[in-house]
Amino acid sequence: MSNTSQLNQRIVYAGLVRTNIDRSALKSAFEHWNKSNSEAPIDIFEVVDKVVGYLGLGVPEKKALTLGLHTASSELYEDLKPVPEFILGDLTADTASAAPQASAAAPQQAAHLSITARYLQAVSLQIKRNDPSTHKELVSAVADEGLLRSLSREVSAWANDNLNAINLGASVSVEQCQELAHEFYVMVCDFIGPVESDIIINNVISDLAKSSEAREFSPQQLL
Amino acid sequence: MRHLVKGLLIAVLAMPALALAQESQAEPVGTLQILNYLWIAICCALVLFMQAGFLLVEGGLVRSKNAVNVILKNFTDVGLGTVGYWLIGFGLMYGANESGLIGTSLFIPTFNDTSSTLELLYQMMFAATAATIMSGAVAERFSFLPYIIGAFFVTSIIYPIFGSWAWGGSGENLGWLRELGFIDAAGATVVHSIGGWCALGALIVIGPRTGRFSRKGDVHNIPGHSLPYVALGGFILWFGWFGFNGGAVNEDFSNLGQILLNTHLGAIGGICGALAWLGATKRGFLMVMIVNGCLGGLVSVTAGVDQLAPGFALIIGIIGGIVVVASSEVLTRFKIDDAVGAISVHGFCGAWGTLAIGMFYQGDMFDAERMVAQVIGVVAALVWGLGTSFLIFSALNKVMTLRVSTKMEQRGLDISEHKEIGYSDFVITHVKADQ
Repeated sequence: MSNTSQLNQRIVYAGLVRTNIDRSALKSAFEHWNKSNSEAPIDIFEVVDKVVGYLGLGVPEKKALTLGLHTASSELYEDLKPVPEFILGDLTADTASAAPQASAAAPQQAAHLSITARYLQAVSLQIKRNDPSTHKELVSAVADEGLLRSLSREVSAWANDNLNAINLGASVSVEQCQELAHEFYVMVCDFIGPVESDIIINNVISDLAKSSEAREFSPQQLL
Repeated sequence: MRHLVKGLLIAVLAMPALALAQESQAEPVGTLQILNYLWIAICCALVLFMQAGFLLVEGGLVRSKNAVNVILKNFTDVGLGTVGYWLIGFGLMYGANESGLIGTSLFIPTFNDTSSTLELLYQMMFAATAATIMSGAVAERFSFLPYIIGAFFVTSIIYPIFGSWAWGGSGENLGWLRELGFIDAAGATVVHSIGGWCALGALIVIGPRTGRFSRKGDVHNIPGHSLPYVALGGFILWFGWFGFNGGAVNEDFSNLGQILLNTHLGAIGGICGALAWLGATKRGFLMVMIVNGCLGGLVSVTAGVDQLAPGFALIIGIIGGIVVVASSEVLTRFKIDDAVGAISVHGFCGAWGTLAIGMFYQGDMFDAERMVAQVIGVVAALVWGLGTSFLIFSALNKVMTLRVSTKMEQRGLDISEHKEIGYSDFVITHVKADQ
């Protein structure tokens, strides 16, 4: 992780602390923002919009957050409080399981493969966070029933990896990716219902739309 | 000059009133007739306005990605459905009925007198109501074009043939149910139950929405996108119902007060019944259920709205409210996915209300012969409505795809079928519509 993104984390944490929200809300808001954390310096208004929209904060909290971010952004890295372990712990675990394969594969893969892989993984991860037992059942269902027949080997390996990172070969077409994403959606609907599925998928698609690969292959094409 | 113009204007404006006054002195019956015309015309407008209520209730109860589709279905089934009824349906329902089974004249009717023309218009509004009941139940997965064809069949064949049994014929040649003494003043069974059972037939053919029932047996709720729409739609339907039931008035208006009061008490009873049931079962006071309870109460009093004592109208409404909530649960257990609760509100409550007037007929309660006639009518409606709609939709399913693909379901029918988005600011699915 670059110095800038670590500085961003400290600034956002400092801003969130000022809002006096509870620990779990703080943690989830931080995780939500951190998905779009990059090496670029943070845009305070974007962070405020993202956090306020995500948590549904009122005007006083919004003011406190904006003020906190402004104050923190003028301070040096060393002067800011480090982000506590209870927040960073999960993040490093998640990114450890997700990021390396996706990012390592990205340079060689076409954008649609990378986006599809990240989409499937992010949806799976979100379900796991919300309800680990349902996720386990989903893993078994994918292992037992498979998804797209023409990608049975890849899907089977993905199920064995607990629906973490899927390895899609270079020959997998855009149409196959779309079909795979859709069949996964239908299966997810069966486990968590269509409304929750739509919410998760729309969030994932929104997040993926900010990635660099999205310039070449829009994640909305997976819908 | 100014005074002259003013005087002329007053004279022109006063002319109809003067004419009416002269006519009323000569023929008092004529005035009553004019009032009758006006009242039926108002009722026509009120029943048409109910479509706005249906539109809001159904539109609010679907997800935002399907709002345009269900709203458009409401609009088009009124348009095409009433045309079908005018071309064929009215003749099947009110034409000469020697067999007691079907009308054989008055196709594409045109009348020279106001009374018959208004009656035709009023009946067209009823037919549109029978068709539109179906659109909500099958929402979010039924393809648009087959739905319109199905709605055309409902208004031009299924509804009018049953209508001819219950309301058709004249003199000695009456519809067979009418001959038996079957009572349905304003269409609890003829309009509402038939609409509800047609919806049930269609639902059996197309199945539930993706993810509504899991393979483990879990039921996933699919809440609507705008509950304020649902509440507003409920109030509009309540308002329009005064016209729906109001058309059952005597020529001398002697029972108008009773009809309007009973209509109102039915709605109130429905709310109370739904509240009581939800409270007793500790499920929380769900707004959608309470609005549907209100509509169920209205449907329940419709059959006997002109023959019920007000106290019984309230009681029948209360039970109607309970029927709505309880029957929704029964349907869910049978994995029937009615997106808006139309079968409970219209099918079950229509049946309940029709049976109830058999029991609580003012001045002659629990008459065995009448009760038997009501039971026969209710069963006939179930068999006819469910059976014919199942057959028609099964046949349609062979020649065209009734159910949209799961991909279209995921994207929503607005973009998939209409290339139009109800709430473009909220939806991120800007994808190719033809996939």
